[in-house]
Amino acid sequence: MNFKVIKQLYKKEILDVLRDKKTIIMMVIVPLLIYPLMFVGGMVMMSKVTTQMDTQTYEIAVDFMDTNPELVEMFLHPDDDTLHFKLCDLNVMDADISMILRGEKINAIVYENEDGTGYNIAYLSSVTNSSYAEQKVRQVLSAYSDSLTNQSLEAAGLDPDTVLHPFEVEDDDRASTEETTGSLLGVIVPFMLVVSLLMGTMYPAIDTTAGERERGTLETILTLPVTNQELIFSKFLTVGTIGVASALLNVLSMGGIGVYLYKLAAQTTSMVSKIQVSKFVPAILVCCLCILAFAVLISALSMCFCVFAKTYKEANNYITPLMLLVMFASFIGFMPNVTLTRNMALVPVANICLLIRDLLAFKFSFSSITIVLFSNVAYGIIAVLVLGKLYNSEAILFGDGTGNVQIFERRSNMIKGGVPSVGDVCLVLPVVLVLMIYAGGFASAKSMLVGLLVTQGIVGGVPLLTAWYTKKDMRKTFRIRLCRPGFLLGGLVLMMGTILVGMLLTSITSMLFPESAESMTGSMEAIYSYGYGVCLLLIALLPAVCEELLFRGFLLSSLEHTMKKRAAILTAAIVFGLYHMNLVQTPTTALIGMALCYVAVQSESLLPGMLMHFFNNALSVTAAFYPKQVARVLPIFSENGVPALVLIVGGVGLCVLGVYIIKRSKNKAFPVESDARL
Amino acid sequence: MLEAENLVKQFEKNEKKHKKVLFSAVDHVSLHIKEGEIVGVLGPNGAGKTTLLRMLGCLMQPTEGVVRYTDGDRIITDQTEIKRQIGYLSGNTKLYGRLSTRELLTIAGNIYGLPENVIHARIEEIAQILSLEDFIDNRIEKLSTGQTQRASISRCLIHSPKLYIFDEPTLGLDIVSSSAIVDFMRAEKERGKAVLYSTHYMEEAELLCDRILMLAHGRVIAEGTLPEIYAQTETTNLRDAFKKLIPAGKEEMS
Repeated sequence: MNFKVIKQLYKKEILDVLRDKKTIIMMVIVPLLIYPLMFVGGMVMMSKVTTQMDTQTYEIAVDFMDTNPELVEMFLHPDDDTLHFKLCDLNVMDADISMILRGEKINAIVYENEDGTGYNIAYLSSVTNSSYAEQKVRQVLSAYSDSLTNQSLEAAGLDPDTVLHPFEVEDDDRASTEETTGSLLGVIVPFMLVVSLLMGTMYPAIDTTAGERERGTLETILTLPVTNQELIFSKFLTVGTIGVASALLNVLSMGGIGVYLYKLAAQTTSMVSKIQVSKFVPAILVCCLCILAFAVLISALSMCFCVFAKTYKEANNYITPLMLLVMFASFIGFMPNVTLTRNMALVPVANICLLIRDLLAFKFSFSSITIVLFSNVAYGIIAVLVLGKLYNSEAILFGDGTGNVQIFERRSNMIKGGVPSVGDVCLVLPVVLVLMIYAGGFASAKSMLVGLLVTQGIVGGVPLLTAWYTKKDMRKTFRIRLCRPGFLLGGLVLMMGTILVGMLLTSITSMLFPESAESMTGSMEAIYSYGYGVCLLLIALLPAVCEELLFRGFLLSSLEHTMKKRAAILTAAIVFGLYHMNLVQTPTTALIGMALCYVAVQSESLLPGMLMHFFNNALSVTAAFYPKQVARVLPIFSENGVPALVLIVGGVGLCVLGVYIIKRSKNKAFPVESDARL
Repeated sequence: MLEAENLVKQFEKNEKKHKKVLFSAVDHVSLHIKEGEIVGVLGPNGAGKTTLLRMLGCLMQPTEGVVRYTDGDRIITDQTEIKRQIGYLSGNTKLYGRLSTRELLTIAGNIYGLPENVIHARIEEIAQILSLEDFIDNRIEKLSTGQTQRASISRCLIHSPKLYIFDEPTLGLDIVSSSAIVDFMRAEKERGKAVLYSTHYMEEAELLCDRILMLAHGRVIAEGTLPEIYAQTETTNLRDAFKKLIPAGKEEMS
């Protein structure tokens, strides 16, 4: 990539976007004009309405006008100067209370209850004046009740104050004003930031991609000596810049409103303590870094959604689900019981919201900040790189615009057969991941059992549905064929070897990330409570089928079609490792993924992989339920474990033996091709 | 200068319900453009003219074959590098409406890697050649069709290319604007530049072209100088030659 060219393209994009009225409205007018108007104007109006409600005279109908002059006096001349009532006499027995209240001339009716032990307040909660009247009446009745209590106590020769308030209770809040303010801000600010950044990136993302295509200017720029990557990177920088600028303007606007309201409160009441803004500086600086990191991610994501759209309108349709998803994810900041664990620090959107919430509450964790910032930047860079590869200017310019992504084509135009395109895989994997995190997570919150079922349903269902929708060859894509028994045997031996090496890897990563290891153990214990049979089904059988369909079927078939076999195996294995979203598990699962991919490629069947996957998972489940019996048969599962050297030598030995058996079976199954393959 | 060898471009097209088939928009076309000549690409709609020019302009990747640009002893095959050597313009090219012609030219000049002072000097020179002075600082969205087309041409001139590829540059223009473009091509030829252009206007091609390449169904059906084409078809003008070469009912010309 030539950075001088990127700089020029960026300059052109910025000029073009900034001269678009829609961007200016979203970026400048909304935060700097609409928000202050909404907040300050709204608050002024609310305060006026409240003042009016507080000072207005309420019309109250009572049935004790003649029988209780003391109470009538309290209504007409209450101790509180803000209360104003106009009373009228009403015979409740003959009156239709509901009808009178609905007439809205009388705001509330106070009448003695049937046994004469108290008073009822009839009002309409659906009418504001009536609701207010009820509160005011309750105040008077409460004062009347207190006065009667005091009279009784005094008549009995007791001091009402000593009897009613035998001891004092006073709050002793040790949190500083800054901490209290920060924790309050931490609830609302992350949501506002995420949404404003999203809104800020949305329009430039659409304008620079689908907008440019619709205006027909893409051909012009492509006649110049620029590459696809340079073009897409400059557009990404533009969208990111506008997004960050928009978010900062929003923060500035909200900050301004906050300061204004604080000053207003400080003028009107002495209760407001002085806030030292300087204490927030470190938090604000890290928040700015968060905005930048999140801008990288959200700009890339927005563009991923818009780049294949043919028109502005179509791009709007594509980006709306992203917007809803991000907004939904950012609600996590409102949930007080969700904390920023190391695993949560890897979940996009949610991690930024939780980190900003923690920062504003003065909770600084260097490791969390690092993981959140790096994961956001990493996701963003991956998205841009994928986008750079997917962005085929020729298909976008002169074709139907779908480029490498077949799923956006009309179904009637799709060609039957073949395997999924890399573009489709790049779209399906994030969809699976997002659905797993949110739909699976939501279901898990209700029940771990349902959560596992939903998660595996998504993992297996989404690729199956996509392959069916895009009319792919299901047998070829999902390697549906029987295989020689040698592949099954070789696969099992290879898996045993991989498990031994994997155990060593897991013990190393557990030492590096103890927190992740603990959280993994905790979640597994919750699942084990369902019993051995259910666990075998949910943890061993279901993933063995569903994950194989996605990773060794949908993903690997596609990669195998577009890259060298070794690169395809390595890529699919890394994706499989990352998909487990656990720092401890990732290297081991990537290693296991490599073995599974190797067998799938060699056997051209998904069966050995399913058997190997089931064997691996079933072994963990059995070892958890019957540790002593398993340890007796396999000493590696004993509490003392076995030396690392044994794991390495045994593991590598078994792997070599497994590969040998697989190659022998391969030679028998595909005698001609075998030499040309791995 | 620019050489194309066995260029093939295949696309998928819908045939019947649920079926897509491959067809060759350009089918094994070879050509060679020399300095100081104007080569016209003629053919009915769908003959593959635009696809051929897009491949030569490196906007499209050929399915088969190579495009080579020769500058002295230097042979360039890298697509981005070839783009640096040519000026490509399509009749339906749109410009960035929110930018002015000057801004567009400055950005294009910078992308071509020209020094700032050269860009400024070139802009003044181009403004004079194409009479852009009156509207060079106005936003392009405010310009008339003729002015926009002149702004489009100016974009191709900024890096002083030795070869121009124009795809139907006079399409839909009034007589004044199209004459300006024809005059421009002729003037560039006088300066030793080469022009490869496609058109539906036979009289325009007769007036301008040194050589003609006639396409039908993606294949070259006739090639040569005007006298050679007339001799091949036993005609005396391009319109009749075209009619003779293209089966009746397939042609579409003005």
